[in-house]
Amino acid sequence: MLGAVCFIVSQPLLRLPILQYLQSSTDFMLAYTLNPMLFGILIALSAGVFEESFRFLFKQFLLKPHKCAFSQPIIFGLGHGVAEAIMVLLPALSIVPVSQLGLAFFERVMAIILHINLTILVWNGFQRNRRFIYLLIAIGIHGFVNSLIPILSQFQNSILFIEGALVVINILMTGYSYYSRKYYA
Amino acid sequence: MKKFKITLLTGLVLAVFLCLTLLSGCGAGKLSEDFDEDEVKKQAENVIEFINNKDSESLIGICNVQMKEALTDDILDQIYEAIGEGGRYEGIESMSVAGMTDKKSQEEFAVVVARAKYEIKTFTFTITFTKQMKLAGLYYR
Repeated sequence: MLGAVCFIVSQPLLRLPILQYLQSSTDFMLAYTLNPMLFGILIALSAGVFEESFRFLFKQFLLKPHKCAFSQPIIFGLGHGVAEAIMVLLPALSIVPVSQLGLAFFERVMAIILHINLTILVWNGFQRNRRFIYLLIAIGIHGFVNSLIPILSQFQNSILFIEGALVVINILMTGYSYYSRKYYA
Repeated sequence: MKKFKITLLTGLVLAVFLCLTLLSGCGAGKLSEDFDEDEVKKQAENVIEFINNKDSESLIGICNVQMKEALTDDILDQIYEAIGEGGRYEGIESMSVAGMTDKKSQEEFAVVVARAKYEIKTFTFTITFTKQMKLAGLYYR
């Protein structure tokens, strides 16, 4: 539940309205039109900054004690990912039949797994008393994954490349998450 | 130490958006001296007026060769229908102009982004002109 609240605060309540405000500026839209790659990457990075920072803040202030069981980041990440999936998929369900949403469902499952892995990464910082370093790494990975969309979308079959990259990153991160079980009680 | 970390975190969030805001201020290219900014803005207003009035003849009249080929009757009808859904035209809210050079041809263009307010919704037009003030690109959202 807290994971879902974290997503709602960091994205629909904060980041998206700020982006909407920026998009209402013709100066911003002009600069975006002329530098789509640079702005695409910065916007992607902003998702990492907001979501990971709020994960960090929720853990710092709302989830005590800081040392916890391995199940806590998994449940928190699941709540975060599912809330995002509902927000992304619900509007699509009203337009497109469920049978045609196979790839979208697959992409959301991958995103949920990524959210769980990123939550474990942020939580590892608390378990190992290196909170800020782990937070920066999580922001970097999140920003990198999101940046693949503007970077790879200029190629043919970009969806396959993006989803393929997401699968590879998830495999690597799940391996790391499995390895990091030892940091928990 | 805790205060420092929270400040750093807040700074990080602000830094990304400061970056986006600053880049939007200086990220656009300078308009070539071959263009007159006022003339570019006036011509962009004309393009929007032509679309509002469904004046295909005048619109096609200011297009370059590629745009003349691209703006078929079907495409124009789609544009008029989409913009028509916005309701009565109320005016331009804001407009920004910058220069752009095509990497392949090295041709310089003027790019205008204009927010046009209509009774029901607001459209953002991105309009591109050649040095001869011919319409070379038109996009709306």
